[in-house]
Amino acid sequence: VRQTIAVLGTLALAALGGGLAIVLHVPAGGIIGALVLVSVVSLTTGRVPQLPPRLQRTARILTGTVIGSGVGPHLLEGLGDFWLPALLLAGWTIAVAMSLGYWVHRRTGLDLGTALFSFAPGGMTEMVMVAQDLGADVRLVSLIALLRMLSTVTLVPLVLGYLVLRH
Amino acid sequence: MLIDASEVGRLLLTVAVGYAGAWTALRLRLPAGALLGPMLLVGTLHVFGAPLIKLDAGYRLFAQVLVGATVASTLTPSVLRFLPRLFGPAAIGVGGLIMLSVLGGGVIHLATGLNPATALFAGAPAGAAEMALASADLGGDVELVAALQIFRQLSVLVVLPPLLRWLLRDRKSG
Repeated sequence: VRQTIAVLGTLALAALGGGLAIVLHVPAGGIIGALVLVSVVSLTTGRVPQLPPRLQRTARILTGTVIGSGVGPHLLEGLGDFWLPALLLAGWTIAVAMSLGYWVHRRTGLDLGTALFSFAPGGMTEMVMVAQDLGADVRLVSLIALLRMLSTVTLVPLVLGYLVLRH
Repeated sequence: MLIDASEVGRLLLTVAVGYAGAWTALRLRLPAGALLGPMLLVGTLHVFGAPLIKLDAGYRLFAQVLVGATVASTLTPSVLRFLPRLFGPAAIGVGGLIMLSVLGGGVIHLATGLNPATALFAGAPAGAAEMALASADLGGDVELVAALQIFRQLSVLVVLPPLLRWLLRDRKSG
C-alpha cells in the first residue's frame, strides 16, 4: 500500500509540474515540467520511487498510438510536392546529429548509445522511450535533449527573426 | 454534453489497434516495439482510410507526464557528478546541431526555391508545434513547416532504433 501511495504521489507531482509548465507556456511543457519537478524532489529527498514497468509500457503504447493517429492522409497531402526537401532535410539532420553524438562519445567517454540518443533529432518523449528500450542512460539522454529543445525554441526564432529573415 | 457513440467506437478501435501493434511488434522483437508497433500499425491503417480517430493533445500530455515522471524517478546524485565533464561538449554538440540543421534548411531553400522561413524553421531540431508557430510570424508556411518537422521526427523514429541497435550490437560483439 505504501508503494502504491508513493507511485500515485509521484504521478500527482508529475501532473502538477506538467500543468504548471503548460500554464507558463513552456515548450513541450508536459514532459519538461514533470521532469523538472519530480527530479528536484527526487534529488533533494531521495524518496521518489521508480515507476512500475507496466506504467512505462502504457506510456509507450499510448504515445505510439497518438503519433500513429496523427499520420493520416492530411499529412501526405501536406507534404504534397515537397517530398524531396523533406527527405533531404531529414537525412541531413540525422547525419549531423549522429556525427555530433559520436564526437561527444569520443570526447567525454560517454557510452556510444547514450551519446547518439542524446542528439537524436526526434521528439523528446519518443527519444527517451526508445533510448530506455535500447539500454542507454535515459537520465543523460533527457538532460541533453532538454538542452537541445530549450536552446532551439529560444534561439532559433530570435536569430532567424533578427538576423536572417529581417531583410 | 452528449457523447457521440461513433466517436467512442472509433476511439476504442484506435486504442485497440495501438495495443495490437505493440503486441505484434514486441512478439517480432522490433526495437522499441511498444512505441513503434502502435505508431506503424495505427498510422498505416489511418492512411488507408480505416475508421480511426486522431487522438488529441490530452492523450499526448498524459503520456508526456508519465515519461517525465519515469525518467525523473531514476535520477540520483550520481548523474549530477557526471555533468561538469559532460556540459561543455554537450553544449558544443547542441549548438552545432542547431546551426548545421538550420544551415541545411538554408541549402534546401537555395536548391529548391522553398520559402526561406519555411525551409529554415523546418530544419531546426525542435518540436513541430513550436517551430511551425514561430515560422508564422516570419512569413513561413505553418502547415508545411509542421509537416516537414513531423516527417523528420517520424523518419528518426523509424530509422534510428534498428540502426542504433545494429551499431551498438556490432560494437559490443566487435
